[in-house]
Amino acid sequence: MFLLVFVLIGVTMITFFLSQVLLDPLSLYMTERTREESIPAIIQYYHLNDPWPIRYAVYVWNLIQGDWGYSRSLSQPVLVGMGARFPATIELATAAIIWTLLAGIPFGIISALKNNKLPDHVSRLVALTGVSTPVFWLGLILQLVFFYYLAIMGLPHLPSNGRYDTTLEIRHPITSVTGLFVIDTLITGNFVMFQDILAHLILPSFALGFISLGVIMRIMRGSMLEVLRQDYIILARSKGLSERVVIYRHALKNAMIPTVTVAGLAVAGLLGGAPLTETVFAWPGMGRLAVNAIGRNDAPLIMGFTLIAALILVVANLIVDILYAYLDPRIKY
Amino acid sequence: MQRPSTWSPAIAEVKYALHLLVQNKVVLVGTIIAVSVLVTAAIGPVIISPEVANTIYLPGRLAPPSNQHWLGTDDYGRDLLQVIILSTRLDVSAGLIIVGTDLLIGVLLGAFSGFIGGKFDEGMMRVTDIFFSIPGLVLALAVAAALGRGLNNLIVAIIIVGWPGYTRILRGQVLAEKERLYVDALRSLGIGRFRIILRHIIPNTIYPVLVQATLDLGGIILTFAGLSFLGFGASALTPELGRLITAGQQYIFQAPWLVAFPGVAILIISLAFNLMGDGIRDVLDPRLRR
Amino acid sequence: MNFHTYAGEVKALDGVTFLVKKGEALGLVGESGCGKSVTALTIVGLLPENASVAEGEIMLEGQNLLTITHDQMRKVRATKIAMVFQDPTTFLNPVLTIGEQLEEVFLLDPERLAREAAHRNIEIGKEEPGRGAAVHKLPKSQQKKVAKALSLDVLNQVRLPDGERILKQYPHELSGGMRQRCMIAMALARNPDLFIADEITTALDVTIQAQILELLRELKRQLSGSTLLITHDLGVVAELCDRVAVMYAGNIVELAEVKELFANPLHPYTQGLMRAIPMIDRKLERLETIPGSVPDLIYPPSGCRFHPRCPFAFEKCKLEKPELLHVEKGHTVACHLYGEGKA
Repeated sequence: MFLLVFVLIGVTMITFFLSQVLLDPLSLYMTERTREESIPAIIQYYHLNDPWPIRYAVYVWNLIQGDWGYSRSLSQPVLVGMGARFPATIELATAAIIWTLLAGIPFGIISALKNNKLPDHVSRLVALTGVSTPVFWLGLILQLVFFYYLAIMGLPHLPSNGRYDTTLEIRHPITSVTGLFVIDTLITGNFVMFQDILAHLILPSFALGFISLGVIMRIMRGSMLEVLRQDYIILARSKGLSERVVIYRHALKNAMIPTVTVAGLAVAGLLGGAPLTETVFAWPGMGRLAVNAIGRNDAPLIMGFTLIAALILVVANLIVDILYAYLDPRIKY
Repeated sequence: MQRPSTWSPAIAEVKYALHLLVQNKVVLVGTIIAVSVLVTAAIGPVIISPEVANTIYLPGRLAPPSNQHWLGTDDYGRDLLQVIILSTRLDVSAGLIIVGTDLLIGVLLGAFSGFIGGKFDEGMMRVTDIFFSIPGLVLALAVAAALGRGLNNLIVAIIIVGWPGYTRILRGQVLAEKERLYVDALRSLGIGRFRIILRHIIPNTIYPVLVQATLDLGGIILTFAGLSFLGFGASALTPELGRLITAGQQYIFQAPWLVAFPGVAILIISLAFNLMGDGIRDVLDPRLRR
Repeated sequence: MNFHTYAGEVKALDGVTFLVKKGEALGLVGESGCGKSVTALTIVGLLPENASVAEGEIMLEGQNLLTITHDQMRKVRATKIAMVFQDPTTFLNPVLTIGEQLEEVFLLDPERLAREAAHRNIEIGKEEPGRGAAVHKLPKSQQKKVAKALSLDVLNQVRLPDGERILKQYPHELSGGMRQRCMIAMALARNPDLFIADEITTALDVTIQAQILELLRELKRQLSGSTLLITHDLGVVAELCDRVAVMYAGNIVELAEVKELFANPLHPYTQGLMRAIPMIDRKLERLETIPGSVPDLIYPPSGCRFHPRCPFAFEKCKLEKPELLHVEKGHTVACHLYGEGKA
């Protein structure tokens, strides 16, 4: 636990360094309406002329209070702008993880069971391709095939960008409860939009998840193979248990342990792929916000994104640790 | 009087490893492709004049693949095949530079950290922890944004993101290695720690890191291309695979070849290095339980 | 039976013949690597993938275990043959509780569960027990209850009275001796016709060994089935077994009743073994060892596999492999010293 706090502090140090040392510290807190006369007041409020340690302390204190700086391209404080787009990214990332786990784990198991036979080779090839494919390119190709070509051929197709059809939404307005539209439309009974949201979610989440799929599949395969060689599997078989029971009851739980650990890494990959995927699919999430910020030289926004990404990753790893303790009774906290 | 350093048996082992590498077929294919990629990167600008990249011929732009232009032309009228070949040099060498520099930093820091231990080691581990908690691409994004546009800045940004990984791996190896008896023997002979680390510890512990580096190369190239796609790094006309895709994005439905082929090139390059890395790992790993 | 390895064919077992009589305990002794465990694994059909049986048969109550189907073999393992292994730490699944690992054995036989339920008057449902109804399968939840009751019983049998608590614990929370008893319990649960114990005391402390041996002695009295006790420790054999077979390099070289073997070891290898262990009733200056080392089974010695180390070896030993011949009162040997002609 303590480590987490320390790590987060370290991350703030990095963003502090980047935004206040390499760049003009004033730019973090200036709005487009700041006038010449206000500048000295700003400098004093944020202690921008004081030595570094004090500046850093003030910086962190403000972060905790929610003042992450001001984004001139959005005309909003950074935290507000990020916060508005946070659910969209979470929705995308969660859908991507679902793809990854739903495909990666079974493929890994099958690969291990049919070790060195055809399904194994095919799976490994798919996994390898997944790890070698540029996610932004994959997104574009998916759009090309599933949107454009299908549409030309008159077949039903998937939408190519955005989160939902804006014209459709006018007639079936979405009430935002959690910000996660999949859930919101479901609980408000807005089935028209529910379908629309899902349709828009398929391609981008698949593209984002495809990369991690390879990683998870390989780990699952490796750990499954390792587990199946263990002594307790021999005992289980000697009891006369059916092969299915041996695999799903005895082997799987053990094999999931290393996989869960890697899942944490996979989340990092997803967060990294988010800016690219969101840009390609015009998905209104934090990643795309950060990318646009680059074009508009809006450094505070980029730093804000970095902080949030680190936060999400830390939380994800925490969840992984908890899962790990749940799976392996030998671990005690 | 020169004592034989531990490098010589290391070199002999490398030769044996290469011999084994040749025997696994899939890996062999990957390695061959990887080598071809390297060759293309190296001689590309020699057989195709770099000026091709700067030659704009607007009347011929966005032409589909034909006998004249096997892969079609891009939005500047340049022959796509030629531009792709030229770009391999940039992408591959960027990847090599990044991984190489990260290796250098990581190995040195990791070796000293592990060997010397104490507060220095503690501090180093905390620092790597911090780096690990920010997703790679995101951090590279932030650093590149802070440093400004430009190819060199992009490379520096990705380098900054990658070194902690190797530091961790090597440190782990060194921690085990320094308990071995020969280290005590060397110390009792009065040999300084610096020399021990450089001439003995590092050659014995370097294999897992090298394996990891070859595995990482493909991914680094993907990151580099990805960030270039977003607008960092190379400028508009510079032949670079990510850039080509950015340019092609606008014309994706009219001229899909502009997006498709550079992407395939990235895929092939990354796949080849991944295969080669896999093979190296399979060959080296079970034999060297260090 | 052979192992196919990259180094070559390992001819692990070449001429293993013995039979275990009903209700008796047969000991199988030999050095490490002589093929004792492999024999057991072959019987149960749990050899690793690179192993194959070239020829032979394993008969259990008239059935040749080498020719039956996979499913039939599973049934055999679930009801007729039970095996306990050497290392309770690695042979128990670390992520499942003892209860789960024990109850699953019982849950394999739903008819038995139903019978036991009726027998013990455990609630079957709203109907009165003793209706004389046909034995069906019970619903899942009841099956679990009965299985749990049976588990507690069998834990009692292995002298682990604190059953309720143990069922909820994980293997790593128990001591080595307790874990081994749990494994024995899992074997007893099947009421097997053949109980195979593969070096079950080797991984334990001496004091715990003694406890387990004590337990086995008691169980032997209670069990109706036969036991195959595999060990390298002649002392264990002396305590627990009725008959004993001596194995060397994949062959059975001698087989006799325990007392007979100790009093009158015939095979040179057995004699060597006897000389190598200290015994209270003999006065010795030194313990003698058998010169040489165990042969490489990829290129085993020709003829009798023991001949390179045998002090009595002669020409014939190099050329021809001796067969197990009956010498006297149930005592058989595979050695040319006791050649043909002795009925």
